[in-house]
Amino acid sequence: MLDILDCRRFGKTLDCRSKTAKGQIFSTDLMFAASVFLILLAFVWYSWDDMQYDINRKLELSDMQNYALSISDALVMTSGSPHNWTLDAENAQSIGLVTLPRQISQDRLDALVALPYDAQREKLGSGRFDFWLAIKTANGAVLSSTGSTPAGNMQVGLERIVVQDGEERIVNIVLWEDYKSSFVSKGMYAGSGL
Amino acid sequence: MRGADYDQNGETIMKNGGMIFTMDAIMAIVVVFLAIIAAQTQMRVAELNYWDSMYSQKLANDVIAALDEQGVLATLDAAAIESNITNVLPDNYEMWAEIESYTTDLVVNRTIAIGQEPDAGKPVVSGQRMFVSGSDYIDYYNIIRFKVWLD
Repeated sequence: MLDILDCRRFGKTLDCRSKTAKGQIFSTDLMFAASVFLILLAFVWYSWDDMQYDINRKLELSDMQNYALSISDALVMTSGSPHNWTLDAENAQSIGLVTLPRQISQDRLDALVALPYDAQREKLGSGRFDFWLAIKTANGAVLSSTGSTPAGNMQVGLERIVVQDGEERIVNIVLWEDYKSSFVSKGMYAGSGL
Repeated sequence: MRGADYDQNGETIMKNGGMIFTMDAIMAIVVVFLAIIAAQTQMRVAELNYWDSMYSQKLANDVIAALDEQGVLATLDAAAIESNITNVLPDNYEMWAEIESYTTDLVVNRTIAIGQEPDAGKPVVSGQRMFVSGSDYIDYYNIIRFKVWLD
């Protein structure tokens, strides 16, 4: 193969170098630089992707926590709207289980349990989340429950302490959903069951 | 990438140029990487604090209000109050309370401590509630101050 020579004059000396050889040195250097750059870029990309997923998941969880707190407040601190919503539960605007704050009424609880699940969700304002509600004794025995049994991969549960007929009761609320991030750019998250 | 340069002996110096470029890129990416890690750490801490304190506050208020409603607080019996708190408080929570009892002349009658105080530096949520006690008439005005924290 015929080398193309690049000649330069240094005083009386003519220095000739192969352009092909110079090109190879240049390519090795470029490849090394590009490799290091790409490896680091891959790390940053992965971390960024991971953080995006983390942010989305945390926002969803935070949303769920806010819903759970506000639903629990509505149930144990308000009587619902209108006050006598049990007379026409299907048309209630919102549901509350108490007559006075933290004093649960069996009539209101029965009226809530009698509603269809979709109507319960709408009246409680659980948004896109499914819910499960249980009334328990202080030692954890379930007296009554309604809603959909928690099954999703993201759940938020909380307990509120109330009084019913002079006895302490625990109102246990669980919001849940089968969470699928809308930001799925990495194969590892698709179908991972998260 | 800069083109090839020659030194006095005609040797190429383009390797140095490439190395500087590489170091520059590495530094830039490392800075971005550190920024991402810092942001992730901050997010985690902020979220935990918010939920824990909001829920702890509601839980503590519920417990004290329920005990008041049942008349347990009015007994001013430290053992009974502590037993009731332990009964309803979720296992991963701890609570400490102190009741200051005043006579109708607003003179401190006694102070009752319930449970163990939290360790110093432990993040707690605190609150207070006023209630009255007495058999037929109001004998005492009381203030219960409480702290609740994650075990």
